Order: sequence, then C-alpha cells, then structure tokens
Amino acid sequence: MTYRVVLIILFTVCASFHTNAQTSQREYALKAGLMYYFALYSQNSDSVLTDISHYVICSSSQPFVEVAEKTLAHKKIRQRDVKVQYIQSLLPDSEPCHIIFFDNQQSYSQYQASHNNNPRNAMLIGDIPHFIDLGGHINFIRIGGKIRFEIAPEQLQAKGIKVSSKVIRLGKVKMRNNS
Amino acid sequence: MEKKFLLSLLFISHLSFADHDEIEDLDFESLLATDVQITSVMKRTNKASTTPASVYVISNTQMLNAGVTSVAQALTLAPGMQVRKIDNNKWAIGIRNSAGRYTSKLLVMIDGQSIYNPSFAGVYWEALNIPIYDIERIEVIKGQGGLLWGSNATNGVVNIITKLSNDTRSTKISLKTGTTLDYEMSIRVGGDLNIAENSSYRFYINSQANDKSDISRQWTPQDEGEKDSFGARFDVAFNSDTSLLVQGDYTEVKMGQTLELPHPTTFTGSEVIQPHNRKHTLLMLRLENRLSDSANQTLQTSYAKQMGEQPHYMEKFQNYDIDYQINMLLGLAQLDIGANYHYNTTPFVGSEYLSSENDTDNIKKYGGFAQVSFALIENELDLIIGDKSEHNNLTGWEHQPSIRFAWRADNSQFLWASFSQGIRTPSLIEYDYNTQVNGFEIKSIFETGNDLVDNTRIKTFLRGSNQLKSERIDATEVGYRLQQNTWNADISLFYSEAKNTLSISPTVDPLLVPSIITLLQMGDLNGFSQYIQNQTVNFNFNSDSKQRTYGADLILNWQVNASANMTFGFNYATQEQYRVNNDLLEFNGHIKQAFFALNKKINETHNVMFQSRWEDGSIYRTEDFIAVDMSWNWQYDRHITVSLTGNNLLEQHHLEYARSNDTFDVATYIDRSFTLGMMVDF
Repeated sequence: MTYRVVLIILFTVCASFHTNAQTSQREYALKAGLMYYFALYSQNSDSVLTDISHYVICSSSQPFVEVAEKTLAHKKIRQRDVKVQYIQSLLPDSEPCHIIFFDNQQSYSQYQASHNNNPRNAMLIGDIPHFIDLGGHINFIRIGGKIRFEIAPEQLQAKGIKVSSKVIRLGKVKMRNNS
Repeated sequence: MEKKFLLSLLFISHLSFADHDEIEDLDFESLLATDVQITSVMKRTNKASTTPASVYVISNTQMLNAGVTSVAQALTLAPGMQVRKIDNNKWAIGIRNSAGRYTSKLLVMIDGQSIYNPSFAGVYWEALNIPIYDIERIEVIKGQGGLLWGSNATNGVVNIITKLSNDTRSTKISLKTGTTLDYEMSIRVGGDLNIAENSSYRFYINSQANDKSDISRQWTPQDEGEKDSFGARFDVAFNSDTSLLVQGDYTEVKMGQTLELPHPTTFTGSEVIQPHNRKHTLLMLRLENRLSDSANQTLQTSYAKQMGEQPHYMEKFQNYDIDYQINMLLGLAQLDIGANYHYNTTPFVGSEYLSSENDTDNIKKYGGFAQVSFALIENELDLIIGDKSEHNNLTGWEHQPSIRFAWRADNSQFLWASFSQGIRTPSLIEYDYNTQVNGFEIKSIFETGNDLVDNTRIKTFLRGSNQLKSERIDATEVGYRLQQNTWNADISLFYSEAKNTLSISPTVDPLLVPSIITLLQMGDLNGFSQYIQNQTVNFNFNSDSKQRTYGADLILNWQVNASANMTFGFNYATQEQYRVNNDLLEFNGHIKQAFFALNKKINETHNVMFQSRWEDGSIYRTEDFIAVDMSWNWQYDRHITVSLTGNNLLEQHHLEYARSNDTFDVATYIDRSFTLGMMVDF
C-alpha cells in the first residue's frame, strides 16, 4: 500500500511538469555533430562554395538550426567558421550552402523541383526514408537507439564531392536504386 | 579549444557522456556510440560524467590497445576493480570487497542479460568468451545498483555491451599465440539482412586454449584449458522507432584443475585432479520501441542454460527472464518504470560431497521498480528517487529504495550523494545445500595431548538453511568530479552497514567429547576410529552477522598531449565483520590498490600501452605484488594489425590468491607471459 502511494506521488510530481522536446534536441545535436565530421572529412570542388568565407550548413528545419547553432558554435572547417543557416525556401538563388539538411520529404521535394535546372554541388543530407534512392547523398537512420548513416559515395563523387574513406567505413554504403 | 577537444577524447574513454552541450566535444566515433535518448533503454549508463554513482567505462579501444584476451582480464583496466587470477582459467573478481571465486555481491550482465549462477549467485568468468573486438564497452558501476539492476548488485555492476551488428558488417579474423596462451583463433562474419531495411547480422566462432602454470600452491598444476564458442547477433530495425535484437551464444569450456577435497576416510584435504567441463547457452530477444520523442519502452526476454561437471558438483540450471521497462521524459523529470519475472530451474544433482537440505528445485522472482529524476534547481541540482520491490520464493518480498542527489556546481565541478538499500538473497549453497568440506580437527574442540588423536579429523559439512534472511546493505556514497582543461579527477567515498550477513556456527554432538575420553581411557583406538568415522560436525549457515565497509576511490586522468594519456588510481576499502562466530566466510581487513596506466600513440600506426597495479595481498593471504603489463599495437595497413603483449613483466611468477577455505580450488602462481597477435579486417 505504501508503495502504491509512493508511485502515485511520483506520477503526480512528474505530471506537474510540461513535456518538452529534450530528446529531439539531443538527436539534432548528434546529427549536427556528425555533419561537422562529414564536412571535415570531405572536399567539395565547387568553386563557388570554395570561395565563400564561411562553411554553411542550411536547413529549413528551425528546431534543427537552433540546436546546430549551439552545437557547432566556434567550430571551424579548414579555417572557416561554421555557420548554420535557416532557409525557409531553398530556392536556387538563395545563399550558397555546403550542406543542406532535410528532415522531411516535403522540403526535399521542394528543393528538387526548384533545383532541377540549376543544381549546386551541396552535400545533401536527409533524415527521410529512401533518401538515397531519391537522390540524396547521406541519410541518417536510427538503429538500436543510436544514429547511423547511409552514404552514397558515387552520387557524392558525381557532384564533385570527395569523401574520405573514414566516413565511408563508418557508414553504410548505398547505391541509388533508380527503379 | 584544442585542449578542450583533447580532454574530451580522454574523458570519453572513461566516461561515456553526452549532454546536449557536451556533444560538441565528442569525436566522430563517440558520436556514433552515443545513445539518442537520455533514457536508458537497456539499463546502461548514458551520462557517466553526470551520473550520481561511481562509474568507469572501459572502451573497445582500451581493450584492444591493452591486448587483453578475456573479459575478466579486461576488468584489470578499471582502477579499483579487485581482479585476482586464481589459476590460468579461474578468476576472483569483486568491487569494494575482497574478491572470491564465488563472490556473490557483483552483478554481471551481457547487453542487459544477467549471467549469474544461482548456486553461488556469482559468475563463472572463464565461461565468458566473447571476441574482445566485438565488445563496444564494459561499464563498471561501483556501489549499489540494485534499484535499476536487481538484487545481488550490492557492491557493483559489470555491464558488458557488445557492438551493434550494423557496426560489424565485415569479416574479421584474429589469431593469437603466446607463452601461456596456446592459441586464440576467432572469426566474425557480418553483413546486411534482407528481411528489413537497415538490418544486419554477425556470426562468430572463437576458440582459445591455454597452457598450465609452472608452479602451483601445492601439488602439480593442472590448469590447462580450452574454450570454444560460437554465437550470432541480429539487429532488425523495422523503422526508426522499433527495433529488434536477437542474440545467442554457446560456449564449451574444458579446463584442468587441482581441487582440495576431503578424503573419504581421513577427511583431510586431499588432491583431486579432474577436469571441470562447462556448457553455457545464452539467448536473448529485445524489442525496443520509441513511443515519442520523450518516451521509449523495452521488452526483453532471455534464456540461459548452464551445465557444469566436476567431481564435487554437477550443475544443470536454466533461467527464463522477462523484463519490461518504460522510460519517459516529462518536462524536466525523467521517469523509469519496469517490471520483471524470473524463473530458474535448479534441479539438484547430488555427489559424494553434496546433498540437498530442502530440495529447492526452482527460484522464482517477480517485481517492479520506479525511479523518478527531476530538477530541484534547473540545470543545477537533481534529485533521483526510486524503489525496486521484488518477491522471491526463498525470502519473500525485498525492497531496495534509493535517493540520489546530483549537483552541477559549475561547468567543471559535479558533486553527488547517494543513500540506498541493497539486497543480496541467499544462494543455493547457503540456502539449500550440504557441502562436505575438509574435516574439523579434534584439537579444535579439545586437546588430549595425543597427536594421533588431536590431528584426527571429523567429517564436516557446511549446512545450508532455509531460515536465512536476505543480506540488507544500507549504503551511503558521496562523490566529486572535477574537469579541467587537460586533466580530470573523480573521487568517491563510501560507507555501508550490512545486516543479516552470513556466519557459520559449528554444531557438535554433546556426547562427542565424553565418548572420545571414555574410548581413550579404555585404550580402544579401534573403537575410537570407528566412532569418529560416524560422527559429523555441521557448520550451519546463519544470517545473524553484521558487516561494515568503508573506503574511497580516486581516479585521475591527465591528457599529457595529443598522443599521450595517463590514468592514476587509488582504491582503499576496509571491511569489518562483527557479531560473527568465526571468520570462515568473510575476511576482515583492508583492500588497497594503486593503479597507473599510460597510453602513448607513437604515430598514426603505432601505439604503446603500459599499465601497472600495486595490490595489497593481506586479505588474499598473499604477498603484495605489482603487476606490470605492456602492449604494442602496429597498424600495418588498413586491414592488418599486429600486437605484442607482455603480462606480469616484473616477476617470473607471483601468487594472486591464496584463500583456500572459501573454495576447493588450489591456486597457482601466475606466470610472466607474452602474447603475439594479428588481426585482419576484410
């Protein structure tokens, strides 16, 4: 009986707090951390991207941008500060991005539709089912409570992005399935 | 910034932490090793840096750099662990108390599945044969972990966490040989499964054999051994929220041993050379499901079978376990709730040395736990309270409440305090079995002045009792962690009072002494001999004793530069048993250990690791000794690694364990040894 009372009190104490998204923030922070190493261990031959003063990671996900800004604050990639940029609509004439992160199918479809005629050699990273088949380069997956990633080295190579063997070794290599 | 990054590299090898703000300092591999959710789906620690307990994490890199060949040996890498080699197969391992072959205050798990043996509620370390390269990390939690992990975790928990099969999708071959290790051959094959996207598997075979020691404490060493295992793990991710883990292992152990067992007629300890064969099977199935961003649940079922054959004791145990756990974040609070059911079949197999008092052929346990952690002061002071209540068919309901405080004084300082009650339930040896031990000498009762008579031994039994109560340990611990740019310190102090600890009281027939005197007065030595043969002395187990344990753990880590890392450790504990009739079961005394380890990365391909432990031997009835180990690893190319390891380099051999009255095993001297290894990764 005493223990039932204790349990009821515990539930009451917990219920008095508001639910937050702590876990999501943690997941975003992990993904931002991994993106930093994807950037660190890759080279992009796109001259436009090589010349800009920051290393820019773009996303249309506001929660991700907020977390990534904190996680990657003061980080540098090849002497350039990392900048995390929120972009509402990823139009072709918007600011150049080295990495674009998509966390939903809709934003990626929008990006694809607007960039068909003017592709820029950004590294496309997603958290979307079948993202590689849809033309993406790296896709985050959750397995056993941990973050893992699929990577398409050939698709990256086709866009002039060379990724080190260390990244490829730690990821799961996947070829695009056009069918 | 660079220093902070270096420190993070050093820190993660010991403390697997990952707060939102801390993730920025993790390296690539550590990010992949970090759990997404703060809640612990498999009862593993997630934020050791801010866990209100004394936690040490042995990483895979540490184990490979040190060239260890077994899980038991890997535990020598954790400062403060009591790891004593009895012979080339057997180990005595404990935390904060003197380790014994049948230590029963430490809970050991593989991926959350307990591998304890119900007869002595301890672990046969020699039957653990997982390839070291597939172990992600070993978490060592010192102190009471009963609330989350269950009973018998009163002095600590060792949680062996193997790698996700997704991270072992390659073929690996490891070959080792050496002066004591005859050979070790293992192969692992891994790949993708087609049954669901992002699903993978691995299979392994591991075979190991070792030579016998050069010298034994008495008689001739017989401790050669063979271990053969195979196993598999399947990780199936149905989607990003639901995953299934299925794994199983089978291990056969054949080891030589010298036992000191009572002679059938003289009852003196006499040499028995017979092999000890074991067959262990483990199966586990775990379903993990993320209910939302702030809640996840886990259902785990497991099966274990342990069969052991040795002259004095046959075992045939089977365990069935079901565990359910739900973890959720509610605002600033974290709530963990779980329920468990455990069924153990323990059919008794008698021998000339063993009989059963109560025919206890099964052990059933069921119960649940609830723990809530919430901020008393946001981002500064947390309170964690909870209780685990469990019913077992030996001693009834047992409760293990706990209160912990965690205070982040600032970004570099963390203080914690813990007040908990832990439970250790009696093992079958204590509760049910009558075990014949070396005979009690008549001179221990009274002296006649006739050496022949005084040295005569009477048949003696350790007699289990179903009246035993569970040992109840009230523990208080406080800890302090300090993190500076290039070094960090972890200090913990502990004090515990245990009630209902075991004692043994001898019962002798009141007519024994007058009968012997009468027979001797009559000069009837034949009659005396016949009379003594039919007499017995029983040492009955009681739970009427108390024990006090206190001490301190200190660990210092220093990142000397980008390539060198040092660890210093000092561990001290005193154990005092009082209100006890004799000292046969526990040893009063001190435990002292000084620890030093240096890992030096010479260049991109060469690494050297040096480790030494000074161990106080008094409580083990040995000399103090210094164990010095050194290992060199050479990454020849991206596929091949070569290693050379030397163990016990300072001495030709030394004795690590000489307690003989709590075990029948005869210890051997541990030899200096060298091991050459090669690992190929395809």
